[in-house]
Amino acid sequence: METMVRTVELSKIYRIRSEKGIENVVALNRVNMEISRGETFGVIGESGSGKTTLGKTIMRLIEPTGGKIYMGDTDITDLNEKRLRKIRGRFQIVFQDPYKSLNPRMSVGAAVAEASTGNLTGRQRTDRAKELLEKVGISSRKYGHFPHQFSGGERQRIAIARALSTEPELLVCDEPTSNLDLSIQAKILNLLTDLREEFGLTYLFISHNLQVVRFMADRVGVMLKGEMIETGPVLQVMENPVHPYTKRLVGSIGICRQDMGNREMRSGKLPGGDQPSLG
Amino acid sequence: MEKTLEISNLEVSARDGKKSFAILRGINLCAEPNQAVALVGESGSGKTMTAMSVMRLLPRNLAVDRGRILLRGEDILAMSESQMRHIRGKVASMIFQEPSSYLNPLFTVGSQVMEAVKNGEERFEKTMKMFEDVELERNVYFQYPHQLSGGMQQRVMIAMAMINNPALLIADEPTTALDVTTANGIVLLLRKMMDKYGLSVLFITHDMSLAASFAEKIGVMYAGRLVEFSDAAGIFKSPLHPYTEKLIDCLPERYAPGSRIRTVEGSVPDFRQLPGGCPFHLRCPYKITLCTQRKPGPTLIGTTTVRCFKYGDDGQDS
Repeated sequence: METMVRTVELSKIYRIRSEKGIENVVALNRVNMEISRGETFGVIGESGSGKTTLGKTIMRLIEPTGGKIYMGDTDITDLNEKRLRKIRGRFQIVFQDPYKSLNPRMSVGAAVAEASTGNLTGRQRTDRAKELLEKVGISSRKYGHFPHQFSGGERQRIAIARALSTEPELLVCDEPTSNLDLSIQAKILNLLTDLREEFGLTYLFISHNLQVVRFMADRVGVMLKGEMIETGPVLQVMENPVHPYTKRLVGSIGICRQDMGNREMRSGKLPGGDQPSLG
Repeated sequence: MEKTLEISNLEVSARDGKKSFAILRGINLCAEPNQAVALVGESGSGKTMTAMSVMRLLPRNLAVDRGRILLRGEDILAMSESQMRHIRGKVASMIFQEPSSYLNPLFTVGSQVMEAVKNGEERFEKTMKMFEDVELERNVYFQYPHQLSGGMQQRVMIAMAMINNPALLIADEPTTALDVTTANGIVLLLRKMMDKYGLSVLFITHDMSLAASFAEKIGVMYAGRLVEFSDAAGIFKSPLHPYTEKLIDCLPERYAPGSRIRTVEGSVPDFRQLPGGCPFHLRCPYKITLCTQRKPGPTLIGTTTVRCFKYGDDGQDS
């Protein structure tokens, strides 16, 4: 299958000054990862494990200190700002906190229109922004509204519309539903599934919520202290984890699911029904 | 045995100028000693305001209109503020979602825990013992909040809340900001404290799975109403209220990868514009005309109390 994004020995080392002098903090340690076109690759791990650093480094929002990043066949590791800008539209990112990712002083329509690529007239940009807003389930009549007039779930939809405005192939979703209520999370996950089909998107889906990743991803990578310690098809990793840390992580879903297992499943089997219960 | 917490017919309203809005209506719940009761529901459903009513820490513009809150049989709504000071921390205490916001960055965490211990007692020894209980090493006593991880900070908060051996601990989303493994540790610790001290816990969360695994009882809140109060063991198998059913339906773990999650249409109504009748009728698939006209009263089915006309029209409600 065609490769969408690939990292080779990708590393990021921060040098920080502490009481003990200058210390090296390894945020990413030789991460090798490959995502095929159209695939959803989940990244799980605890806070501080390097999940977000990985997403941002692939976006070149953080400069790596070692290794290579390939978008398709293009090596983007050392592209300068100008050349990077030309292909930036191909990969976009949606952040965790939709309250911080939209400019409070810009109408949401303008925010979506602003990012549109191509030689478009003002009118065309506006139309396209309206179309995108409708796509993510925001009425185009709200084009002129400002971020504070929307709920968290709606803002996340707008952030997604904005990301889509450059017609990306890869969308990095960094904990896109972590700040949202259960019912809103369900809607956003459905939306992402729909968009993937409609636009043939590839997702790098970062989350600490294993259940969300199980639901969304085809394959998953587990991160620990900057290293990707295990990768594989999501059901395989969740049901038969190999690395001791993954075992602990999967075990820590830690919920007596027997209650839920008994209820008739509408679609498919619930994996991991024999997870250890608490206490 | 005397119940640790008993809330009956609690009604809380917010005042905005001359207008008044219902925030909580007809809340009935109780917690036995050594029992965990979880409150679940979406943001703005009134979970935290219920907890704040128990601590008598409601925001200024909110007031209790009616109802009774008994803590170990004592009516706390009748108490003066100075009497309440003997309740907070000693009978009921509380921990929160973001421990770092509740710890003073300028003092060692140990001194902050010890602060609540009366003079004359073996203050330091008592604090150290509590540190042991919450599984923190002794040297953590001398550390400052910023030197601790979120999980350790939450343990400090638990130590602080438990140091005067309260009967009830209110835990408001104590694990939401934490990683899964850390969160697990905190939940296990709460259970351990319950068993050791006969503590009751009112556990507020929006995580249905966590609620069902941790608590014995679950109260589901919607728009300021307790729509279902049931045994945790059965709630996934047989949710009674349509909203409970819908919430459970939203869990991604109930679906095969790539399928569509069945969501709840619409969103939680604004407290200022609650619809007439049952507050859930706008989003309810089982709506009948009656739902738009009157609010369903509580109906008891087995051990579950539910407010929905699906189960008859017994209790008349205000």
